[in-house]
Amino acid sequence: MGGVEPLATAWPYGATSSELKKRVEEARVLAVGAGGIGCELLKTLALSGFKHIEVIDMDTIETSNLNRQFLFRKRHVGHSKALVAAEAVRAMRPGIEVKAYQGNVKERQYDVDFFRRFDCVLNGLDNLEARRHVNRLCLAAGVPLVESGTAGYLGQVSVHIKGRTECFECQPKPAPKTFPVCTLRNTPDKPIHCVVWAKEMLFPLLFGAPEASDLNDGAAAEKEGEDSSAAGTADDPSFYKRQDGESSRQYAERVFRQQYGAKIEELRGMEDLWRNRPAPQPLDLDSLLQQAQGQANGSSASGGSSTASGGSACKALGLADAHAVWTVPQNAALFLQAAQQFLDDRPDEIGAAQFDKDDTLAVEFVTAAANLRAACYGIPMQSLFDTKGMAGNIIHAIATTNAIVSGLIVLEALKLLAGAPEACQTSFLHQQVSGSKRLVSRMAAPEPSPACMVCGTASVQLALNTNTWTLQQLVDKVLKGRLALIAPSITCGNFTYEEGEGLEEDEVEFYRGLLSRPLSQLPGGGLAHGSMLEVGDQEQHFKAQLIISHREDWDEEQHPEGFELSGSLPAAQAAPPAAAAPAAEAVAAGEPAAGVRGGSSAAAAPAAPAGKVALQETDDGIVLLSSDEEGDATEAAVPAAAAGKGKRKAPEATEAEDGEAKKARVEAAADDVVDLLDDD
Amino acid sequence: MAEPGQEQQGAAQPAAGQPQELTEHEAAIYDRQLRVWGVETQKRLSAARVLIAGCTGLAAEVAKNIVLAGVGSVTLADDTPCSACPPSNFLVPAGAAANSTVAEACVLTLREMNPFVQVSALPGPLSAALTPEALCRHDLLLLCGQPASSVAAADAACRQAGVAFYAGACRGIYGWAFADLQEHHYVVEKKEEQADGSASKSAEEHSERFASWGEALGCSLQGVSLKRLSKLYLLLRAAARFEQQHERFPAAADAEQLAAAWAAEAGAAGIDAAALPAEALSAYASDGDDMPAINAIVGGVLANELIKAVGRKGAPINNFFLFSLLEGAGAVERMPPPANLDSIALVFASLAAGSNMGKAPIRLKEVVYTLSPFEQSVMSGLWKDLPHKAAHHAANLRDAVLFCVLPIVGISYYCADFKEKEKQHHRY
Repeated sequence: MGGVEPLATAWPYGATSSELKKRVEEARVLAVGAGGIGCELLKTLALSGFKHIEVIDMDTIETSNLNRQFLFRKRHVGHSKALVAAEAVRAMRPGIEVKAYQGNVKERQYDVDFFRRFDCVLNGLDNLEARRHVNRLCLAAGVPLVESGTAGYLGQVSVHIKGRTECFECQPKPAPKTFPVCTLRNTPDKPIHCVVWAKEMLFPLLFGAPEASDLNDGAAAEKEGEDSSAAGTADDPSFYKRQDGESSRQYAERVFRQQYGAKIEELRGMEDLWRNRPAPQPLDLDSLLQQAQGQANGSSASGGSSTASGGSACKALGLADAHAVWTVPQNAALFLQAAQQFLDDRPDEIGAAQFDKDDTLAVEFVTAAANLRAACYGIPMQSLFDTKGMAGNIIHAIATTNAIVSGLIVLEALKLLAGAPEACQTSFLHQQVSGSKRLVSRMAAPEPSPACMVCGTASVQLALNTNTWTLQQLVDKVLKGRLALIAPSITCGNFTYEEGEGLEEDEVEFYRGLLSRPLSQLPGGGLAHGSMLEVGDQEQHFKAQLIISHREDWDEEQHPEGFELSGSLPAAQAAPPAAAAPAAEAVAAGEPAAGVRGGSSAAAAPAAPAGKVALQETDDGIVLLSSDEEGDATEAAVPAAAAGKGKRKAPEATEAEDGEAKKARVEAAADDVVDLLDDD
Repeated sequence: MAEPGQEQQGAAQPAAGQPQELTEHEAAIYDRQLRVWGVETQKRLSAARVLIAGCTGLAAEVAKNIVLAGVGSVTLADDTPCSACPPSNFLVPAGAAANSTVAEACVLTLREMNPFVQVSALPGPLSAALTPEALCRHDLLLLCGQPASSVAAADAACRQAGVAFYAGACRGIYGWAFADLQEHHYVVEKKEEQADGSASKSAEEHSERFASWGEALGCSLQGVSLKRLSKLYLLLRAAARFEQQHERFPAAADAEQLAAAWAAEAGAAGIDAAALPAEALSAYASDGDDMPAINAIVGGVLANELIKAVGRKGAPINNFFLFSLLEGAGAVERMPPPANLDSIALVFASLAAGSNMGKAPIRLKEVVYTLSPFEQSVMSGLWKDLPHKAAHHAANLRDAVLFCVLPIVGISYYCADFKEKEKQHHRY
């Protein structure tokens, strides 16, 4: 909507003019997300005089939402966020037209024509994939997008106008954090490794679909590495089947002895692994249980008490304080109790259970399992509360930040309606003021990057082993996983691959047949070093060029996923090297990364060597992290937080008045882009 | 709707005294924010009693935020009838009974929002909140949407009662918040990551003095960089001059008088009147309404500050938060500027004047911080990593012994030995 006339009274004085009021009343806006930011945004929009609001959200309301999503009440738990929020706003200000959609914005029905109906789109999303999707649709529809994110005390709002300011994807987004499988399986050295192991490997093995567990999948066999194959941990899945007549208690004990006894012993035998690190110590279940019994002083720790449940194994054991770190015997008792309760009370779920951060019993089991593993390896154990945060990838969230961000979003929307796109800005909310004395600082919205693969013309370099990678892996891990395509298509010379609706039966069948083939053996000569692929997604109106480079030696520590994606500038344009280099780096899989950790970020020491890696993963498995330039994991990589430490000046230096703007932009580009999330 | 008697009670016995343990249900609801500020702050919060006077849109934002956060009790004071409710107060539902007051209507919505919080309305006019009896039953007063004259009076009353004071208002394209915590003690938590991935926490104690509203707006601006100063602060000084005199906000018709107030203020402070554009002044006078977006921003910041103040954790804003669309940003200003800077700047100003240099006083911020040994731990690295240093020195010493001392000692020993041998040789 580039053609909005400027107001008679220019911004900012026109912000309260009746002319703008009228435009606001007539404007149609789409709020994507009715969660933390969404609730506040809907309220602020309604109060600001917007009369045509549409909102879309797929989630349902949960108890932990109630502390900040103020349009919801306890009685609404389990209901659709979009519908309840729309109802609440209508009750607040009757006469406003609020249309709610309960659905995923990535669904087909929300296509370019859907987006085109709006004067602007306001995002309050909680995951990167959906943000990128909305960004592409807004670009295709030519509708300005106001993007936002919060984490703890930190917040950010940016404006994306096609052709005028950079799009959401002009700045490279950090890659999801993954851990090398062999570290998880054999050589954990951080609490998070144990938690991920317990949640991703052990939990599915016992309660979920066994094939979902990496503990015994083909990954180990596939990687003919020193550690992983040597570890020989490819468990026999039948071991984890309950035998006839075996009680749940006996089963839990058998698993315990296997995981913390036999397997640790087995690992100890592989001396190569322990040359540079201490070998793990196996746990003896019997002595632990004796201690536990001693500690519990004859209370119900002995088992057989699974009836005392109420869903919580901690309660049955009398472990009340979720913030305390329990002892090893307590964890052992909890492990058995939780496993037992799970098997006895929820037999229907066995074989298909999935970890859910709101499932008390599952969190208890994972806490105990992770802590026991930590005990074997001499890693500090964690409280239930902290483990829940790590396993659920919970993003810290408070109402105030969401409220502030909603205000900043609406201000940008007003600027767009006032025909003052030149006034649009990227706003940062900091936790603490720094030298510039700004708690809310601004930066002029940067210009589009010609090197952007979404709104520009740049191509992407993809390094992988073309002999071992199958088309399936390429599609799942790179195109869907990293480039956020939903129905990808690939063209390279004579070779084409397509997905999505509108294909004939036989075409679908044909393409499916290709999926299992290695890239080098695809029809049309195969994909090899130097192949140039056109990849795209018709629904997103997205197209990009992908250049393959073949590489065989992969360091699992550095690139656990075995590929590297880097945005490449045409050589002549590689002007700001500072911007290009981290771009490439940040996308590299497995880059040490730091999450946004609200509470402690400003207080964190500037360089915490080998600091904790904080995962910020959302419900649908996307991890959003800000990776640190120096490559060491510090707590806060958000410019907002870092600015407080004087390390990153980007938001400050860019008060947009001085000629420093340009320099700051390069800096901002060199810095990681802030990826703040709304919580749910 | 609560009877007046009940309300008194509600205010009189909020969860005072010892912070209580969180119940399981509270822990479930507050889970996400506990991850931000911890259990300790949450407990303190649930023991805090907050009084909010003036139910504007800004007050509604703050009330919503602190009620969601789980403050112990909130009391609202405003006897405006619902029919005259400011449209930006979203806590008053569209169908609220016309004969109830805004405060009463807000109470109903807030109670529903978080049943753990005791919410009540203070009967009587807004000024009832400023009496010593009302103040002594609360830990903190927030005054919203009142002219400078009322803010000054409320601040004085709070100082007398020893109650923390916050004020804020949003007008047109401006929004500001002011804090006077008098003497405030708080801790700053530092989290240090260990090499093994565990975190250790340490808490540093701090204290800070706050200026009164009068001092904050009446202080000398000598040595303050006007370029870095938020324009809204200057505007507030001019407005305070006007509002103190007329005991109300300026209206559109008062634009000229406000301009005159600014001219007088600028003259008294010795600054160029052009530092504040005329449109900025007239916008303040003519836009009586608030912008909900700015309410949300200032209300969010204010609520954060309230939580920090009662939780006694984290450095509070001392003492202005100023958000204006002129700058498109929200600045924090400390007024008057910290005393040491002020006085040193004055010394330099007089020196400069005495030596007839006629130059602007040098900004000394950096100098002061570098000179003051109290501001930084100069030799913190001295004892760090001592064993390693000792080993390092020992290694150096070994090299020195090997290459410097040994050759000399060896040669002199050889010479002595040679002499001795020669002597012996000659003797026999």
